[in-house]
Parts: sequence; structure tokens; C-alpha cells
Amino acid sequence: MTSTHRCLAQIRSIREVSQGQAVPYVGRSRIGRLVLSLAILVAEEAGLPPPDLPDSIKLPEGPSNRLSELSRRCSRLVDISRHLSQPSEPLAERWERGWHQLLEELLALEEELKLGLISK
Amino acid sequence: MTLKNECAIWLYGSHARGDADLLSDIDVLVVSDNFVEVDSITSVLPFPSPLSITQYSWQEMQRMAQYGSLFLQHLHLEGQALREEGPVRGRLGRLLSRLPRYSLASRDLTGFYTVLRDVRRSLNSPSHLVFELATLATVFRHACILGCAICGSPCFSRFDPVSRLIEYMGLTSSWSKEFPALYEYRLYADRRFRRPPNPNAGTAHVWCDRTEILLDKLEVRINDFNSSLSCPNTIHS
Repeated sequence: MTSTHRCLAQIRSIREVSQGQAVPYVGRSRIGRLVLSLAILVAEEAGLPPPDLPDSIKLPEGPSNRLSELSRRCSRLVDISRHLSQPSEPLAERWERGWHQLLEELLALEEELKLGLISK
Repeated sequence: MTLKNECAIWLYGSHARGDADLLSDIDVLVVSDNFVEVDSITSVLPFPSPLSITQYSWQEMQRMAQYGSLFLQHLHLEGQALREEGPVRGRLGRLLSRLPRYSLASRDLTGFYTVLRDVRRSLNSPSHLVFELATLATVFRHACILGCAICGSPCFSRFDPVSRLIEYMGLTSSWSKEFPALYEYRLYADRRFRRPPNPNAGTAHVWCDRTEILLDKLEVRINDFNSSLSCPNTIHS
């Protein structure tokens, strides 16, 4: 499985969360897993050492538009995740309110990743 | 910057308990119906940054109180008010003083099982090993915190919930001794500890199996808890 396919599979797994119980708890770790996969993908393509934890990724000067976009989306997911998942207790109500924003972000990321597959 | 009077600030966690160490962060709860900038919080607290700040609205706190939130039980057990003025003076304390028993234990258990399945699946990818070890440490500890709470002995420190529940459930005592090494991955994920050396998949698989055994035992306790609505035996440290 390539890094791109792994990211796409993880996007689907986050969408599936909405149909189960314990949505915020499971969602929190699945978003973390996606952010890590995305950061690894960007690092691979930028020739950087792969990160081992999910976080925003800092690119060196002059990356391609695609890498800049993926890196920006990675940071957005980190921000959304921080808001939805408090360190103390993730709340179902907060997830319900933030879910649409997260879905929009996932949809845009999915499109970007698929475009990358087509252009290869 | 100034804080509005509807804002309550509480300290909880190791600094409130008095067992903080060099790895501890400073856990601060901010309850406000308006978003509060971190700078305005740090400016009124007698602690150096960085703080681990949790923000909830009053409405969110009310909803958490309705299901007997474990976080609110944590606050009730050891939290300390740092700043409460005007109309919110004593408001959080009153909310905490009438918490019902926790009612979402089954939901939490479902979440723990699902995350455990996710971890097992993800271990096929070596690049995720450190993250999955940190996730396992989190799930194992959270399951122990839940177990202690439903057995009438709530406990929220870093390792006591683990040792207490392992003993109570009659699980292998060496797990308690080995858990701090696993938890180093969680501390590393929080940027509070160096990267543990030589992470390996074997360790992850061992802790997956242990977590599953713990969850299976916990499920029995939760079923008893839900059906009897009382826990006849309490555990003691």
C-alpha cells in the first residue's frame, strides 16, 4: 500500500466513525493516524526524514504547489482535531457541531490526493 | 488582556494533587461561554507556561454533569478553583457536588475495543509504530481509569489507576511494573519525554493482547455495574 492509498483508506475510516458509538474517542485517534500518514507522505515527497508522530510539517523553501497544499491541509486537520478533541474529555456535542467542517476538509484532501494519483 | 467575569479557572491533575514531577504538565480548566485567549489565561495564573489548557462552555459542563462525566469526577476529587469572580463564584463547585454516577461506561468500552482493533490493523505499517504504542498506552490507562471509577475507587494519577485495577482484576502484577515503559511513548507524543529507544512491534503486540484481556474483564464489571446500578465491592489502594 502506498502512502497515498494509506491516507485515502484512513479518510474513509474517519467517515465511518460517524456511524458508530464512541464517536469522539475513536475519531481522535483516527485523525491522528491520518495526520501522521499525510505528514509521512509529504516528507517522502519533499525528501525529508519521516516523522513518527502526527503534527504539522514544516517544508523547506520552494516546495511544489501540491506539497504546499498537502502541508497546509495537514495543519488544518491538526487545528480542527485540537478544537474537537480536548485533552481532558472529547465531547459528542462538539463533534456533532464540528463534524461538517471536518468532512469538508476530508473531502478536499481526498480530491487532492486522488489528483496526485492521476498525475503520476 | 482581561478575563470576563463569567470565566472560571480551575487547576487539576498532578499539580492540584501535589504529586507533580518534571514530566508533569500544568492542567488548567477554563470554563467560559466565550473563547478565551491563552495569553489572557496565563497572565492571571501564578504558573510558568506551558499550560495544558482545556476550555469548555458552561453549557458543555452542564451536559457533562448529566452523564456523570469522569472528567468532572476528576475535578470534584482533586480540582482547585484558581479564579472565580462575580456571577460564577462557586458555580462549578455546586455543579460538581451533585454529579450522578457515570452512565457512559459501555460506550467508552466500545470505543476502547474499536481503537484497539485500529491499532492492531495499523501495526502492519512500521512507520506508525511509535504512534500506535502511544495510543495503546492511552487506551490502557483510560480503561483503568474507567475501571477504577465504576468500582467505586476513582483515581486519575499517571500510574495508580493501572496498578490499582490490575491488582483488583487479578491480572499479572508485572504489567504494572512494565506499564511506565509503555507510557513513555505517550509522554513522547505529548513532547514531554525523549523518544524511547528501540520501539518494536513485539512490544506493541504484547500490549494489544494485554489490553484485550483487560477490556474483556472490564466488560464483565461494566455489565454488572449497569445491571445492578451499584458496585458491591470497592477497591482500595
